[in-house]
Amino acid sequence: MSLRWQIRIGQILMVALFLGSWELATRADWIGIDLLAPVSTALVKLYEMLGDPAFLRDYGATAGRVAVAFAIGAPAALICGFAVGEWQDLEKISRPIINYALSIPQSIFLPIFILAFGIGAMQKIVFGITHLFFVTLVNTIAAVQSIPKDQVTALRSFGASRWQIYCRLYLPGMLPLVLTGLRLGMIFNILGVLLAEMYASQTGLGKAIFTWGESGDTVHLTAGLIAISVSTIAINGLMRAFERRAYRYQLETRSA
Amino acid sequence: MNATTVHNEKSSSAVEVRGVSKVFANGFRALDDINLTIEDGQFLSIVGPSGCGKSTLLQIVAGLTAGSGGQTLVGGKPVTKPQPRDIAVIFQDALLLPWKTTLQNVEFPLDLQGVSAAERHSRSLEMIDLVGLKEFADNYPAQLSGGMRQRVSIARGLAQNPRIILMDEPFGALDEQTRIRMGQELVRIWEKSRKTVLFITHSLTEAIFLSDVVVVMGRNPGRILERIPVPLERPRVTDMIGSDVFGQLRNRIWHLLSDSGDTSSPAQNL
Repeated sequence: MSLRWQIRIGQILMVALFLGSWELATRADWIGIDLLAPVSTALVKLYEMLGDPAFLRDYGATAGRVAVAFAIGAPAALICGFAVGEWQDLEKISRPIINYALSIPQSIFLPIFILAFGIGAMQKIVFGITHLFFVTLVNTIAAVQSIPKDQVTALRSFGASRWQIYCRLYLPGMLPLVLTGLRLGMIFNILGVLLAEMYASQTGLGKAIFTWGESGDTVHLTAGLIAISVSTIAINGLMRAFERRAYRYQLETRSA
Repeated sequence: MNATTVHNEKSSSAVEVRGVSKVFANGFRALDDINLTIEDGQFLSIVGPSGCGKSTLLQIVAGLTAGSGGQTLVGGKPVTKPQPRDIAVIFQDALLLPWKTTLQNVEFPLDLQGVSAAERHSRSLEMIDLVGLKEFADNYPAQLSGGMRQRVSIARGLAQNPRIILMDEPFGALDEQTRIRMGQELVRIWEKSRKTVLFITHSLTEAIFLSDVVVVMGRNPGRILERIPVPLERPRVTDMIGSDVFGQLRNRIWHLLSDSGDTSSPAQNL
């Protein structure tokens, strides 16, 4: 058996061990039902919930907010990041504010966001956008700056137009780092939306798990946590797959 | 031959630099009244200490940088921007695109110029074969050694089928052994293609071994000290490096560089 398969089997065993201990600990009451439901019970509940309009409405609300925030925030971060990365003076001027913005925990501004945008969908979307924006911005700036200036000179000597330099050098050269920035941005975006929903909301998965937690309904809570985890793992995995494709020429190198 | 009379030479020249100067924004005079003629099919090297403006001069001839004064003519016409059909530039680093294979990298300039797929394919394969990398046509740059990458970059320049090739210390980043082998390769390729070559280097041996003419530059301000014809016959073979003529030439250039008041790093110029 190849080493790759041995590792794969080892990984499956680790996941099984984790789920098994969870099941055992909750069944044996080492961890009380007031804290966490057994994984089997939660999965059965989750299956039920997939037919429950209230849950689907919450799921849809959160997914919609995350999607809208990404659709607005990601292009904005890409455009700003490109501009800042390409024009050095702009980079120098904006560097401090970007660094400060990244070092402050954004959650502390949530009360202000509520004052400004209320507790409806708008506030969640804006909070998602601000969470996503800076991390994607910084990665995009780094992506622009990863393009060697000498490489641009070489393309100019081939007679490349400015447009060709952007399309044929910048775009493919920036792609891996940009995709990393978008994936991290998506993780922060989901975090921002869920956080805003848990803090003050009428709808959404964040509000749902918070309510289940407050009422001690750990079966629903555990099922909800599993639903969110599986969804985010799936999104992350999908975006990671694109990233790997973009990095392929480097991966091929390593295996050669 | 005196540098100031150079522009009176006959007009079969491929490159004519007339009174070119370059002053940077901070007032640094990188080039001062440079006059230089490269004949059609000639291999001309420029040697000189760091900061003598030799790379700047190459960039001006390539149309990548504008001079502060004077004029550069290629094929009788003033150069104001890059002219990929006439001029190929080969840089110190290979500057290959890491996501393109050898073949795709060599094809790239032709692709940018809109050369048809069939033609750029055949031209590129021919040049890859010429630099001895036929088996590596489908490899990515990271799978190649430094010397192989620079050979791809040379193939890329040749595939543009220019009349003039400008080389800016193309072997500067390579180890000594690879450097010597690449020099031999370049001589072999050049003796076949007979392009006009402007070659910039730190190495006196390399300059003499490769060239018809060696131009020695000094700095502060960047200027031409002397233009020295190399009387060695062709084809060039490595044994010539040990010959008396070769040694005398190298001594002469060495003294030119030392006497010009530049004692920055004469040892490195050997």
